[in-house]
Amino acid sequence: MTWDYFVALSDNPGEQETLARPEGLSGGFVDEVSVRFFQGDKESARRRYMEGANGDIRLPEIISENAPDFSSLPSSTWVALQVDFELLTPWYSKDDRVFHLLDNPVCKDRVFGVPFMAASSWKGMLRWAFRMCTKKLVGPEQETDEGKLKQAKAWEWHLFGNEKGEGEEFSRGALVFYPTWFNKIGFEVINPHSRERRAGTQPIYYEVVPPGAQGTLSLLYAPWPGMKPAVKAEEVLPKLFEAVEALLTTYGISAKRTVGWGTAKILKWRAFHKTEGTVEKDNRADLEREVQAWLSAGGTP
Amino acid sequence: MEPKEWKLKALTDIWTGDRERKGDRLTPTGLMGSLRWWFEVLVRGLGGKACDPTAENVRCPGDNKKPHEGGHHCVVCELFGCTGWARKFRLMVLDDKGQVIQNQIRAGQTFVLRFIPLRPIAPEEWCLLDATLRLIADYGAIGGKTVFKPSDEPGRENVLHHKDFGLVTIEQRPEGVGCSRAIAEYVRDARWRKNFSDSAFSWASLQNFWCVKGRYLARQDTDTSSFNFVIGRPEPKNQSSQGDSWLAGRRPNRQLGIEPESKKVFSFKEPPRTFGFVQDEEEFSQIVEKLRILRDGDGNGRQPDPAWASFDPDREFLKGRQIIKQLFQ
Repeated sequence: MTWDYFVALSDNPGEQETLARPEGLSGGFVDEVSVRFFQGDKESARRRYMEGANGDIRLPEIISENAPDFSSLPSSTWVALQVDFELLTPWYSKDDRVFHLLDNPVCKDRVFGVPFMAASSWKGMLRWAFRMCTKKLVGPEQETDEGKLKQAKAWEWHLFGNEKGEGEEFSRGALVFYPTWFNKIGFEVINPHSRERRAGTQPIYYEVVPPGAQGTLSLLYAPWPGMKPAVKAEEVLPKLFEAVEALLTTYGISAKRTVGWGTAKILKWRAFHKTEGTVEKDNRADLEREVQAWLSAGGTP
Repeated sequence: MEPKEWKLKALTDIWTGDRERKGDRLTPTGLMGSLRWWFEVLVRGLGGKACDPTAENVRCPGDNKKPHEGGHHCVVCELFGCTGWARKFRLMVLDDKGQVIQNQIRAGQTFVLRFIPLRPIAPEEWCLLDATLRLIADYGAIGGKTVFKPSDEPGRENVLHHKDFGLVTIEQRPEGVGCSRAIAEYVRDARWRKNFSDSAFSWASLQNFWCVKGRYLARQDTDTSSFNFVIGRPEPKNQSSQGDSWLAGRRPNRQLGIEPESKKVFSFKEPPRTFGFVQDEEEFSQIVEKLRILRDGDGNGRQPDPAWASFDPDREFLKGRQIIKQLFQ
C-alpha cells in the first residue's frame, strides 16, 4: 500500500483525470490541465479546469471532524468566539502553488484542495482592522494623543503579540486563530482596457470563492497568568468584537478588497466559556452584553 | 476620516459583465475601472499627466523610485494605486438600505457609492473624485456597453445592442468635497510622475471632449443612420465592415494584427445624450458641421434628422474646456 499521496498519483496517472473534487484540485487534475495549458492548448485547458473546479465542494470529513471544539475550555479566563458569515462579494487570496494554468488561483489547502483562509491571514487582517478601529493606530486619521496611543498599543500587543522589531522581546498574543474553510469555487474576470484603444487588452481570470459561500471565523482568547502587557478583558474584548465586525462588513477579508471583494454578512455570533457555557446571538451588541456579564462575574485573568 | 457617499440614480441599466459576458450581476471592478478612466480624462483635461496602467513603460511606478519619493507615480495612481502603492480607498456599492448590491443595477434604481478611506485622502483628491462623478453623471456614462448605439428603425428599438447603458444622475453628494481654484496646480504638481509618453492616448482628455445633451444619434432606416454619418461609416446597412477609423473604431482582425478599438462617439436615446472625443481643435468644427447637416439636411438628398431639429451649436455643443469651468466654478 502506498501512503504518499503524490507517489500514489504518479503511480496511477489514470486517476489524475478522474479524481473527484476537492482531492482533484490538490494535485493530479490541476497538474494535468496545467501541463496541457503550458504545452499550448490554452483555451481548452482553461475551459476544462473551470468546468472541473467550478461549483460546490464537499469538505473532507477530516476537516469537519477537526473543527475547533470550544465546548470544554480548560480555563475560566478564556473566551472563545465563533462568527458565522456569508460572503456578499467574491473572496480571493492568492494560492502559493507555483505551477498553475491560471495566473490567479485561489488559496487552497495543499493536501485537501479545499479553498481556505489561513489562520495567519485572519491574524494579519484582524490586527489591521483592530488598529483602524482602536484609537486609529493606522489609517486616514491617526491618533496623536500619547496616552491613548500607549493604551491602544498595549491592547494590540496583548491580543496579537508584537511584530518583528517591535519591543525588546518577542512575545505572542492572547489570541489563537483557526483557518476558515469554504465549500464553493467560482471565477471572475477583470478586463483592463488600453487607454490608447479604449478596448480590452487581455482578460485576467481570478479563481475565487463566490458570493453565497459561508464560512466561520473561530478565535480563542486565551491569556495566561501573569501575561504582559496586562489589560482588562472587559476592556479589550469589546474592541476585538468591534474589529471583527468592521473587518467582515466594512473593510472586507479578501485580497483586492479595495474594489469591494470580501464583504460578508454576519449570520451568527457565538461565545464560549468554561463555566458560563455557550451563547448564540444575532448581533454583536447582544453578545457583548453576555460576555461582559461573564467577565464581571470573575472571569478576568 | 469618515466614509464619503455619493447617492446616484440609474437612468438606464448599468452594465458590468461577468466572465460569461452576462450582465446579470454587479461586478464592482467594472465600475472601478470606469471611474478611474473618467478620473484620468479629467486629470488630463486639467493639464496633468495620467499613465496607462495597461501599457509597458507607461504604467506607474517609474523606475528606481521609492513610493514616497516624487516621480514614483502619477496623480491618478496616487488615489487609485499602482504596484507598490495601494489604493487609498475601498469602494462599496450599496442600495438605499445600506445593503451590498449583488445584482445588476437597473434603470430607476437608487444606489450609493461608498468610498471608505484606508489612508489619508487629500481634499484635492476628494474634489477630483466628486468632479469625476459629476462629469460622468452630467456628461458621460459609467460601466460597459456604453458604445451601443440606439436605433429608430421600426421594430429594432429594443434589440440588446441598441439599448442604452450607463447613464446616472447624482441625487446626493457628501459634504466637504468642494474644489478650490488651485486644483489645476495640484494635478500639475512637480511631485507626480511625468516622464512617460502619452501621445498614443492623449486624446482621452476633457480638453478633447464634447457633449450635446438632450439629443441622440441613431439609425433611422435601412439606408439612413445619423450615427454612421457622424462617425464616417457608410450609412446603408450591411456595409458596416467599411469605414473603420480612429473615430469609428476598428474591428479586430487577429490575422492582420488589428486589435479592437472603441469608437469615440457615444449616443443614448432615453434619456438623450451624445458625447465624444476628437484629436485636435479642428475636429471639433468637423463634428459641429456634421451635426448642422443633421439639423438642416445637406441639399444633396440627405434629409434633416428630427432628433436634431432646432439644434443650436453655440448653446448646445459643449466643449471640454467649458465643462471644466462648469465643474469647478
